[in-house]
Amino acid sequence: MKPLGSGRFAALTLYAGTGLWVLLACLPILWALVISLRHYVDAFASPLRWFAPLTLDNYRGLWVEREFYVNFLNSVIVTAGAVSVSLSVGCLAGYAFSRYRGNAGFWLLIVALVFRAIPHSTLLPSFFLIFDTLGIRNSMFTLILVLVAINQPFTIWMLRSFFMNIPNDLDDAALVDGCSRIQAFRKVIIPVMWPGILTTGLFSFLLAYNDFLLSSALTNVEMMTMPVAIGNSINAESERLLMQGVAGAVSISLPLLLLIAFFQRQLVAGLTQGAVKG
Amino acid sequence: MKLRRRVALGILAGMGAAALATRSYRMATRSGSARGVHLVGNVFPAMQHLARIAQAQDNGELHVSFKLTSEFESEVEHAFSSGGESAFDAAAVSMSEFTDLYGRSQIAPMTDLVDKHGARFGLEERMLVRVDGEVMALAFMQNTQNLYYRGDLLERYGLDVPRTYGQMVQVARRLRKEEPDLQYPIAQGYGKGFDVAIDFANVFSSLGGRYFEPGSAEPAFNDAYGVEAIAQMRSLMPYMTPNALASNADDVMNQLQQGRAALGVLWASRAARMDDPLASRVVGRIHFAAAPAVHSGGPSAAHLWWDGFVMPRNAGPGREQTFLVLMAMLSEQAVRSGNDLAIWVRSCYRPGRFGRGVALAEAAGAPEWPGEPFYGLLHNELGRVLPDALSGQRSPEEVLNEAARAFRATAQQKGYLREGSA
Amino acid sequence: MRLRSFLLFTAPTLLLMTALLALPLATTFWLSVHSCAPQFDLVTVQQSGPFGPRELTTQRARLDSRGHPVENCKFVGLSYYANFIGLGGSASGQAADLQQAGAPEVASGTSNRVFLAALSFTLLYIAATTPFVIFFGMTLALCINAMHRRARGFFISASLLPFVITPVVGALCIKWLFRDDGLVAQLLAIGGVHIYWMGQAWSAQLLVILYGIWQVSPFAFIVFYAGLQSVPQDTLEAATLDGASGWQKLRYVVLPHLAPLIVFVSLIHIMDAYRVFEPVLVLTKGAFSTSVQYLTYYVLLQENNPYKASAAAVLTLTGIAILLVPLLRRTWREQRGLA
Repeated sequence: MKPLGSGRFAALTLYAGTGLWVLLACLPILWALVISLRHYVDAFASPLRWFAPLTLDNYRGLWVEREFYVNFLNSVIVTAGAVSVSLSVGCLAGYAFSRYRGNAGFWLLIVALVFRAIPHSTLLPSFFLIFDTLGIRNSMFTLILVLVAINQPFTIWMLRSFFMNIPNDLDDAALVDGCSRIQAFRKVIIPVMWPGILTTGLFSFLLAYNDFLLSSALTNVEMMTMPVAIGNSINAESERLLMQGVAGAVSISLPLLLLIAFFQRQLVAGLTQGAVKG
Repeated sequence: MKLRRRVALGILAGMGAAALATRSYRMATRSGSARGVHLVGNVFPAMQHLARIAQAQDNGELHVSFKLTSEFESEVEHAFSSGGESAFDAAAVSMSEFTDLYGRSQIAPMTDLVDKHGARFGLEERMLVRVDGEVMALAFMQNTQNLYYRGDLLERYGLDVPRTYGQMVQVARRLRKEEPDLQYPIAQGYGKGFDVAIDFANVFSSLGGRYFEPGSAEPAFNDAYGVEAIAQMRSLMPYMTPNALASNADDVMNQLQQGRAALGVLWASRAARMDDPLASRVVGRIHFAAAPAVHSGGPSAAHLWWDGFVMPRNAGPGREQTFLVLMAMLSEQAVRSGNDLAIWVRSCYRPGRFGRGVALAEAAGAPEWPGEPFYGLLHNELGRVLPDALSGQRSPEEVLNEAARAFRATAQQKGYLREGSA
Repeated sequence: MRLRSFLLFTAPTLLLMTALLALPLATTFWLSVHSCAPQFDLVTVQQSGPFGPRELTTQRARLDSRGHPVENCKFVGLSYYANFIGLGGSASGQAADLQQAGAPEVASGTSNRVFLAALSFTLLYIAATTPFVIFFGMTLALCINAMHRRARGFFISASLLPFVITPVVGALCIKWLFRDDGLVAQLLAIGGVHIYWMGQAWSAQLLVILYGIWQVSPFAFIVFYAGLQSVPQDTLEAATLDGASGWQKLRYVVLPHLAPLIVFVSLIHIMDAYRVFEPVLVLTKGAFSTSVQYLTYYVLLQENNPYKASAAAVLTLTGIAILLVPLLRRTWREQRGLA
């Protein structure tokens, strides 16, 4: 699309305006970065201190003393587990929904959409009851499955619209050649699916990595993921732990920054191809 | 593009595999045939100190874990009330949780273990919390609310340490006049939540008020004493920052540490933080005294608290092992090595500059925290509605009645009040 | 595809969703009409501790023969629901109200109607954030679309930041900016505006709304931006040939093309609005703004009453149904057309 208006002035306002928005969008985390490098007396000073001595004490205290790397590993496990299970299960289902013409498919989709609307805390009381009875409450496996289930509606809707953009001829040809449904799915569809899988995987990743409510309710301290550990530090009655929490807030965001820096092009491509058509 | 994708996925897969491998290794080397002692408590420096000592007891045969979390209350409640074995063998709780757990009969007595091992570890009688003779908890630290004040400023203007709320107002007025920078000399946490209810409790009991009808859970605090307590709290507000209605104890600490306030009633356990140059600008200038009484001659407007270890009724096997780990944490050695981290109960504790708070409060007549298990419910309700009365938005009568009504509903739901009782 | 294959392919996901979504939902309904509480006896005990002895008249739970506290479980019907909507039963209203001896109970106290307060704030949040989210998302998408190809990458990545940041962290960062001596509060103070953001209802609620706009606009942006990539080029060219201006092209070609996406983003945002939790927890701990998700969480974990929490959960679902049913109907009709 042509730029609105032409000339230097318009371009300048465009870039400056968007730049301002970007600054406002990034300001919170930038400020958190600044205060994470200060001692408590300067970070939460009254009145505000514009310049103050910098220190890495908070990061050292967080990663070494509080063993934040354990929380990091826990987050990695939970996220990797949730994303892989979510995608595998979701791909199968999305493919099926896109190829099936009957009524059952339609109704199930609407039910899934309704499920998408359920807030997480609504399920917590029953989770407590059910998991306690079965004895599986403090388990990373349980958390992973819960996160997968919560995200399934969104995942299958997205993947379904990706699959709908892959013409039927592709798998029809494979079926004619004598493949079973599963073989057609694997050989023909999967290779074309990467943008869709990446995009959907990204959303699943964000849900699992950033989850706080379910992770704090369903896990033990050995299994605390990063958001829960940060929340814990902030609430404690100690300003040293508070500062470590600030350092944690910045630390947890770094992988996310890398993620969007690397995959933003694929994300747009994936959305363009798939979801925006559905 | 394809290569980049493959590389990225490869890295992800590698990380996942490495993470899983590490975790499995850690968990495998930890379990095995060793019995475990699992503890839980709140997270603050003294607790971290005790956790380190407990974890030092971890050897090849015994595995000790101490979970420190700010959500410890719900963890303890959940573990102690579960139908099966409790997830924790002991918990470090404060008085309010103790009364709650004891009221629900979820704590097991430790009298037999104390009789057996107590002498060997030098357990003092003061550390034993007995109910009808049975030892139900082992207290290790104490706490109370003290008056924190800027000793240098009071000295400069020849002011006496305030002993009543009226005197506090006078001192504040004088300080504001003399120090133009000190616009808001008093700091209190009047924001909705736990801390404002603590302040109310302190003032209310100093006035001689009574929370419940004797022998029941019927609310009696919505009377003239309650109204006066709110009035007394409001009398301080002209000298407090307008943001006090959104502040809690952490904000009060911050104001004192940054030199923006000169007077405040705050937990004694936080005293040491006033002298840390990395946290405070007023190192060495803050002093402590017993919290002022409301009226002259009355008891100090503060409460005495203790924190201690309790063992649940539904604990798994290995009570004795758990008890021995507790003994390590309650030993003289533990107190000596962490002397300034808390106000310890043990007599070998040498109170430093910050440690005399509890003794001061006791001497000034502060009572112990209420022992009714349903008091906590009331505390929550008060914390929710008090700031409306403090801001002047609603009348004290209205607010107290509402708290009483909400409390009755919750107490009925929890079983403390029978349905249909009037 | 045959029904058999369909069921085979969807079996795992259906199993997961039934076991972890449908079943717990049914259990929640069951829990919300029951209540369990221990049986308490009045006792007088002698307590002694670090502060000396005292006598206490208190209540203690009765134990059964195995040493477990006796639990009274019964069916309570809609009493928890009534509690939340503020229709307290007569029993709870007969407290010895101050200075109203003999007078009928004054049904004041709006904060007793906790659920309605939470729901009304959630609806306010939806009404206040949705238009801005759409507007900012659209503007941003159009602006970045108009940029040089090389520059886009940086701006897209930077704009997506609020959306990918952990909500807990995002809410904390906003709190640190707006607290008493935070950066924004100080800058505003230099400009002469003194607001204690966390100290009163309107500003605390405004902060939650600002947080919502900040966090969701990037999602709208990226969806609209992707949509802009697929605007039919021939229609655009035809419009240019016809002499249409930039604004006219926007209004008559681009926006209609993006209309379904606007609906999509609104739908997702409204659903997520009922999940608002972290800003309420972090900014004011439920003091001036509460959300339905926070209410259920609070009742479950602070009051430790899963039955009451389930009632709050069911009320939440009702609140969602009221708003979402019309929107779902529309989606249903669309999908019916497509399927």
